Amino acid sequence: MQTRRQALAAAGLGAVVSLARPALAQPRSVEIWTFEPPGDGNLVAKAVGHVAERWAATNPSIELKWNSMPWQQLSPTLLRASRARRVPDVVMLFSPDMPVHIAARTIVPLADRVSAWPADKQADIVRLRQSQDAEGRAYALPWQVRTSGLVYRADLLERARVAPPSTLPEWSDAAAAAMGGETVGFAMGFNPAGASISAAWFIVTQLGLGAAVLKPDGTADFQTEQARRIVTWMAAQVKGRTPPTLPLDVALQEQEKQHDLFSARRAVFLPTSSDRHARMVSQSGLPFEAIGMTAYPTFTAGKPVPALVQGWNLAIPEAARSPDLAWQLIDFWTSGPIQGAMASIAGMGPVRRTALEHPFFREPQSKVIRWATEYAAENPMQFEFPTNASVLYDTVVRMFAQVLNGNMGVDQALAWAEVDFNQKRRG
Amino acid sequence: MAAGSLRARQRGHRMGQERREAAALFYPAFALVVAVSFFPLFYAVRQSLHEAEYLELGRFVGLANFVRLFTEGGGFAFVGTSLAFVLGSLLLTLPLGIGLAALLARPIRGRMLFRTFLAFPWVVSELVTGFLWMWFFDARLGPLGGLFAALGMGTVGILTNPDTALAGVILANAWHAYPLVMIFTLAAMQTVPVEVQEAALLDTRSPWQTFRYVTFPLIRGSILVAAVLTTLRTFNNVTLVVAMTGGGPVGATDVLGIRVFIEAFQFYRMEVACTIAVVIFSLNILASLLFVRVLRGDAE
Repeated sequence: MQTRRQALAAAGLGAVVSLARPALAQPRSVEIWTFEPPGDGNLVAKAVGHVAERWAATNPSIELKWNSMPWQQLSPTLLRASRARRVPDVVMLFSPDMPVHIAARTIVPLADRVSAWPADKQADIVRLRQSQDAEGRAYALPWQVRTSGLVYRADLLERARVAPPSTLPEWSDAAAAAMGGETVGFAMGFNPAGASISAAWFIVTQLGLGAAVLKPDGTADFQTEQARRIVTWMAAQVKGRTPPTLPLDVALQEQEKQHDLFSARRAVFLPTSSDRHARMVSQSGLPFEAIGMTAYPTFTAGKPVPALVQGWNLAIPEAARSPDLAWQLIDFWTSGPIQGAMASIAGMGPVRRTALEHPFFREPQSKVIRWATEYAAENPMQFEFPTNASVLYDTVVRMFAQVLNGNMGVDQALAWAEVDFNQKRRG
Repeated sequence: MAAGSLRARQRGHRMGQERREAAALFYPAFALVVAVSFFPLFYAVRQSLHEAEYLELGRFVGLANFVRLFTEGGGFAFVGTSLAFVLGSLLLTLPLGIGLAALLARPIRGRMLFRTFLAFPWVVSELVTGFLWMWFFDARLGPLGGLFAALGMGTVGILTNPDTALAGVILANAWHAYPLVMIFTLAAMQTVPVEVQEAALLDTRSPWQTFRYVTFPLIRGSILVAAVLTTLRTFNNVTLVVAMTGGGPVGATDVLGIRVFIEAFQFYRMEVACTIAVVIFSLNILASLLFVRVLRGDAE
């Protein structure tokens, strides 16, 4: 009787196991929203491709499902999708968009997961201020960082026998000396279609001169001596020189056109971010040494502006189906070996200091990334960005455009910008 | 008597069945239209009357969002730029579309090839159209800029000059939109009897006068429908402006459509975006009513 009962129990257990096996063996997946799926089309796609390849090799049972969209669409799409609770497991977000998602509670904090890491692993990773809430809790981890600075044509400066500039007067003189023919001095634009680089340049240069930019309550503090000096200096590049170091048609173009101009070897200086350096070298066809990068100049030699460090982050949406698998992927993506490899493939700034042990960082091609890493470490920026940085950026570029086009004087434009920003900002 | 009653019952049964079939076809379609058209419209109207915290509905504020838009939010400037965009586009699109249709209606060699070729811009996406024209107008890297420079006119940036940027966007929009007018007009012209046109040509001895006094009045309704569609499409246009100018330079191309896009998806001010969307909707209704009035006048 007992034997029969045991046999029945064993048969029942076997049936349960055989029924459950397909479910257990079913491949698990992580859905990612990205601006660049794995591929061979460009350097970023190749770097993401490397991540996908290494993940497949080490986690064969967990499939990565890539859902690609234009980078500008990631943040608003997540916001809308969060309402419908139809979100991916992992989403890429650019750091200026992070405060919006932290405030709207569309993503979950990662602080508890990070604090479960060993202490040395916690200390090793770069933390971006915009990816944390007011209490300093991380809501995302960067998978690449970039430092803003000035890319320049080293070969043209050398031919003109001028050094890379460290002050604003040196910058305009160097541009005037090295430009000529179809080559303009600055590829720098103040168009709302692409506003972040020029607006960020204005903000960090003001901070470098000791201005606050925003008051403690978050309202604008634009009518300062520092802001006046910078806007007046920029206006002089358009109107104060013949030929202008920054022609008006270039000054009113959006930033991607500025990159095109530099890639076409038609500009001496290009304010941009360190991750773009490798792309400028590859697109211009110039040798690596012909394109240098330095910190934004200021009015006082030897006192560089603080480093604006931004980056693409990996976050877990609030209603993600598989948050544990999502974290496993984030942990993998931000690991030292992967970070080192991405730097060597696409010139991306690593988010782990241990990634600098990768052989790539002993090669001359790593010069710009090493410079950016050191510069960022030595000149940290102390600035609390507003919840929605794009309102600030938009106001700044519109203010510059009014001055450069001759619609407003400097003081009038700064006063207008204060009103405009205060109206549009969120408290 | 009994046979008549039976026939009446059968007729009634058949009509009931037809009604049920009609309802089965109509209501799902109606529900779909409500879901995809009326629900977002209702949402936009409701949001325009409330404050917003990202996508969350806030406190009811009545018409305060509209008042703010037109007192301190640049509403009149956006409406003015949008009207200029629409009128400019119509001024180019209608003559071009009608003129090409009139040419293509004539028995010319390679007519089918020309028809296909001239309809091509309609199948190009707005984004591609925007990038294409942006490159074409580029003062330093585009062909038109090169041409101006070769003619000794210096660096001419159509899209970077606040005085010409809107004209550049209108030109790109007209290039993309004229095939619709052309195809509508061509289709309408083919419904005009050949005998009527031949008789008119005998009377007037002028193809232009034949078109002006005979063909045009007969196809006016179709042209008006094309004009309505072009107007609505241009008022709602975002992609072309985003791709070409982003609303710049110095606000020269800040049309209502792009303001909705920027306010909603860059500034996350849903209440402002929805307020502008309601303004666009109202302008579309006004424009449509105007065209309907003209059409009705024609019919009477």
